[in-house]
Amino acid sequence: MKMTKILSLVLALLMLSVCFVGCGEKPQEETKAKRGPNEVLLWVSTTAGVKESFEAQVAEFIAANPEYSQYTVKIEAIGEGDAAGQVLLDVATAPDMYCFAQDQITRLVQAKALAPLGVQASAKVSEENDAGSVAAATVGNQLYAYPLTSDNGYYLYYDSSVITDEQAKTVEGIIAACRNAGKKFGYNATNGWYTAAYFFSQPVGGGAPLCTSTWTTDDDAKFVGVNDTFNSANGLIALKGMSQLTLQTDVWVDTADDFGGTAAIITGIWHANTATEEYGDNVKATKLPTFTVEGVEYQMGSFSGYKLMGCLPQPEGYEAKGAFCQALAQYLTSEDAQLERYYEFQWGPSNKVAQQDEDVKGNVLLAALLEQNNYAQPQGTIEGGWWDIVKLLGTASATPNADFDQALADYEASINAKIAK
Amino acid sequence: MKTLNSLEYLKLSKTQAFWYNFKLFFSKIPGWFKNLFVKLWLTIKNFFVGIKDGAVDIVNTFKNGNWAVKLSFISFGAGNMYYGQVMRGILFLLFEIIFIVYTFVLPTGGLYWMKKVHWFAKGATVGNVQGMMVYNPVYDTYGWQTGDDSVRVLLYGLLSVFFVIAFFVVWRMQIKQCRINMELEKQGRHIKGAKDDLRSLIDDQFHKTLLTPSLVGILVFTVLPIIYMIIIAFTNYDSAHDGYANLFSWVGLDNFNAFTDFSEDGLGTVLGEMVGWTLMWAFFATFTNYFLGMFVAIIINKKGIRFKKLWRTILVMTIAIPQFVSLLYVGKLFNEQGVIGSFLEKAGLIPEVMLQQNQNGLWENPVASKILLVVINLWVGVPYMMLSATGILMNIPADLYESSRVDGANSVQQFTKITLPYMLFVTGPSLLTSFVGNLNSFNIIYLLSGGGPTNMKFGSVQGTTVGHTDLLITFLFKVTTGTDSKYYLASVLGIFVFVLVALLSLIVYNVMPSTKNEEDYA
Repeated sequence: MKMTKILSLVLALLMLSVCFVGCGEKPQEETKAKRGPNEVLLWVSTTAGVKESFEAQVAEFIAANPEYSQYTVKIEAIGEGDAAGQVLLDVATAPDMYCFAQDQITRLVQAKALAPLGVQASAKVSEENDAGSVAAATVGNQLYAYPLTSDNGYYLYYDSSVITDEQAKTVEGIIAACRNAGKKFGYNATNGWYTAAYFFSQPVGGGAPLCTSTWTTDDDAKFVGVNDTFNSANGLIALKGMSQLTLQTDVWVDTADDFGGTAAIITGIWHANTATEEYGDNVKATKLPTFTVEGVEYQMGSFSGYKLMGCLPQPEGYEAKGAFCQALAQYLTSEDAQLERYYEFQWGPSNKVAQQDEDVKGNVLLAALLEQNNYAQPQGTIEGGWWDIVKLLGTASATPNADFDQALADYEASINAKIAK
Repeated sequence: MKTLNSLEYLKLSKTQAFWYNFKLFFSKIPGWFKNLFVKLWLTIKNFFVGIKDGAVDIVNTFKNGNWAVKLSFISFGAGNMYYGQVMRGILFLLFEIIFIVYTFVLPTGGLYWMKKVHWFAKGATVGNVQGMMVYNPVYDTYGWQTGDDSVRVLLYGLLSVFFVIAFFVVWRMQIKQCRINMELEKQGRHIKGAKDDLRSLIDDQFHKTLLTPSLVGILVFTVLPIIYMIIIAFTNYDSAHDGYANLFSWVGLDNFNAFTDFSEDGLGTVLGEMVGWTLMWAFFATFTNYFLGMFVAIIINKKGIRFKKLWRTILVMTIAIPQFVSLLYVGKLFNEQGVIGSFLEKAGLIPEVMLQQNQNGLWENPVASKILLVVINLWVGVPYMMLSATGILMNIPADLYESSRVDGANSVQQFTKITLPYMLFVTGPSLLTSFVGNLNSFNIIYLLSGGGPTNMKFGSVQGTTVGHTDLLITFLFKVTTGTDSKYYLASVLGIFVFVLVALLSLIVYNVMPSTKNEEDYA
C-alpha cells in the first residue's frame, strides 16, 4: 500500500518536473539566440560545400580588415527557400544575416526583419549589380538586401536529335518536330510563374512587352497598387498564342518537371542534370522560342529571379555589430566572392562585372538564361494570391472554345480585389 | 403528442408505426432544449447562490472573529497563526508578500503588464511602444529601436490576471480556514498543526498531493493557452500585425461580424458552404465506415468462412502502415499519372463532363474528389471498425438468435432486430466520438486533396484559396499558414468549430439509446 502511494507520488512529481524542464529550456535558448555584441550568426544555402566556402570568405574578410578582428561569425546551413519562414518565427532572435529567395522580401520587410541599406551601400549595390537583381532587392524606394545570384529563371531544353536548332526557335517548329517523332513538349501553362511567359512576350525585332504586371508596395511592404495590363488587346494576343500550344493535346503536356516522353521542355537550371539524363548528349539549351499570332511574330518572355542576402536590424547597443554585418554582406556579395561561387557551385552571378567573365559567358545553360533574361521581367514583389489567380488564364487557354475576354476580365477583377481588400 | 402504450403501439400498421416514431422523435426535440436550458439555468443559479453564500460566510466570519481573524482580512495567515497553524500562516503571508511585490512594487511587474494590455478597448494596441527602424549616421546603417512585443505583453498580462485571481482564491481560502478554526475551537476540538497537515497530505489528503502537479500542468499548458487563443479572436493578430514589427490591437467583435457577411464571396457564404460539406463528410465518413466495417466483421465471423485469421490480418495491415504514408501514396494512385487514374483515363472511364471542363485528373473534379475521399477513408477506417465490431458481435447472446430462428425470423430480420440495435446500443458513444473526430479529420483531407480543387466561385478569400473539399479545420490551417497568417481568424474559426461540435454532440448524445435505456441490454 505504502509502496503504491510513494510510487504514484514520485510519478506525479516527475510529470510536473518534466513540464517545467520543458519550460526551463526556453530561457537558455534565448540567451543563446541573443548573441553577444561580437557574435554574428549567418544562414546560407544547404547545398553541400556552400557553408565551408562562406566560412573561408568570412575568414578572408576579417583577415583583410583587422578592425573587425573581434567578431566571430558562425555559419549555419538553412535553405534559402525556407529562410523567411524560419526568420519570422521570432524576429527578435533570428540570425544576424541570412540568404533568401527574392519572393520572400515583402514578408521580411513587413516583419521588420531586414535592415535597409545605408546611403553608400545602396549606391554601390545598385551600380554594381544587374537591374533585375537590384529591383528584386528593393521595396518601396529602398534597398533592403544584397543581390547574391541572378540565375533563377526558365528557358528551353530540347533534344537535338528530335528538334533541329532552327525548329527550336519557334513554337510552331517544336510542335511539328514533336508531332513527327511522337514526342511531347512540356510547358507548365497552369503554373503562374510559367503562364506569365506568353504575357511578357514582345514583338520580334524590338518593341515593348505585350503586358506588364507590377505590384506596388508602400514602405511597410503593404500592397497599395497594381499595374497589370493582362486584360487588354495585347493580353488577348498572348492568350491566343498560348492556346495555339495548349490546345495541341497530342503534343502539349502541362509540366515543368516531368521529362518523360518529352523532346522539349521549358524549365530552369535546377533541372540541368535531369535534362542530361533524359536527352543524353543531345541535350541543348537556348532562349525560349517565338510564336506567331495574326501574322506577327513574338518572342516569349519570362520571369527572372534572384537570391539575396540580408541583415537583421540590430537593437540599441549593437550599432557597431550592425555596421560589421553590412560590410560583411557587401563583401560576400562582391564580384570576387560571386565569381568564386560560380566556379564552385555554378551559381550565376548578379554582379555585372562577374557576368562578363569569360567562363561565365561560356556556360551553355547560363548563356541560355542570360540570353532569355533580355526578354525577362524581373520578378518584383508580387501579392501572394496572384499565383493562384493567374493560373485561371493557363486553364482557360487549354479549354476548347473558352471565352478569353471573360477569362481576362475575371482575372482583372480578382487582382483588383486584392488591393481593395 | 399522445404517447401510446405498447399494446396500442403494436396495433399500428407499419407506416403508422413509422410516422408515430418519426413524430415522437421530433416532438421530443423541444424537450431536450428545455432540459438543456433548465440545466444551464440551474448551473448559473447555483453559481450565484454559491457566491452569495460565500459572501455571507465572509461577512459572518468578520463579525464573529477575534482581532486575529479580522487582521487576516488584510494580512494573510494571521488567523491561522493565532490558532497555532504557524506553517500555514507563514505560507499564506509569504504568498501575499510575493503577490504584492510582483504586482505593485516591481517596475515591470503585474500592474505594468496588465496596464499595457489595454484589455478589449476597441482600437487600442496591445502594448504601448511601437518598435521602429532608426538611421545611424555614424555607421550609415539602420538599427532597430526595440519596442513592445504584443504577443509577450498579452501573455504576461494574462499571467498577471491569473495571479490576481489566485490572490482572491487564497484570500477566501484562508478566511474559510479561520471560520473552521473558530468553529473547532468553540466545539473544543483539536486544531490541526503543521505536523498534522504534513501527515494528512500523505494520508487522508493524499489525493490532493497527487492531483496538484497535474492540476498545475493543466492550468499552465491547457487552460492558459486556450484562454490566450480565445482572446486572440478579439484582436487583429496576423502577419501584418505580428506584435513585434507592428503591435496588434483590439478590434472588438469585428472578427465575429465578418462571419455574418453573406455577400457573394463573403466569409459567411464561404463558411456556409464549408459547414455543409464538413457535415456531409462527417456523416458519410462515419456511417460508411461503420456499416461496412460491421458487414466485413459479420462476413468474416460467419460459420463456414475459411482462413478467418488471414482475412483479418490482411485488413489490419493498413493499420500497421503509418496513416500519412499510406494516404499520400494512395492519393497519388488516383492522380493523372497514378496507376488507377491513368488506367481510368486510358480506358475512357473518366466522365465526359470532366474532360469538357479540362479537368484531367480525378482530383481536379469537385464531385469526383469528394467521392474519392469517402472511398479512401473507407479503406483506412474499415479495419478499425471491423476489429471492434468483431468483439461486440461475439458478445451478442446466441440464444437471441436461436429463439428468433425458432420464431421464423430470416437473417435480414435478425440483423435489423437483433444485431443492429445491439451494435448501436454498445457503440453509440464511440459513433458519436468518431463523428466529431471526422468533423475535424484534418489528416485525410489535407494529405489526399489538400482541400482542392480550388473553388473558382470564391477564388482567394482571406489570403488563401477555398477548396471544394476544405473542411473547417483544413481551412483554418490554410488561413494560419497562408500569405497573411490570419491568426485571429483561425481563433474565431476554432471557436466556431467548438460551438458546432458541442451543439451536435449535445443533440446526438440525447438521442442515443445508450444514454436512455441503460437497462435494455444490461
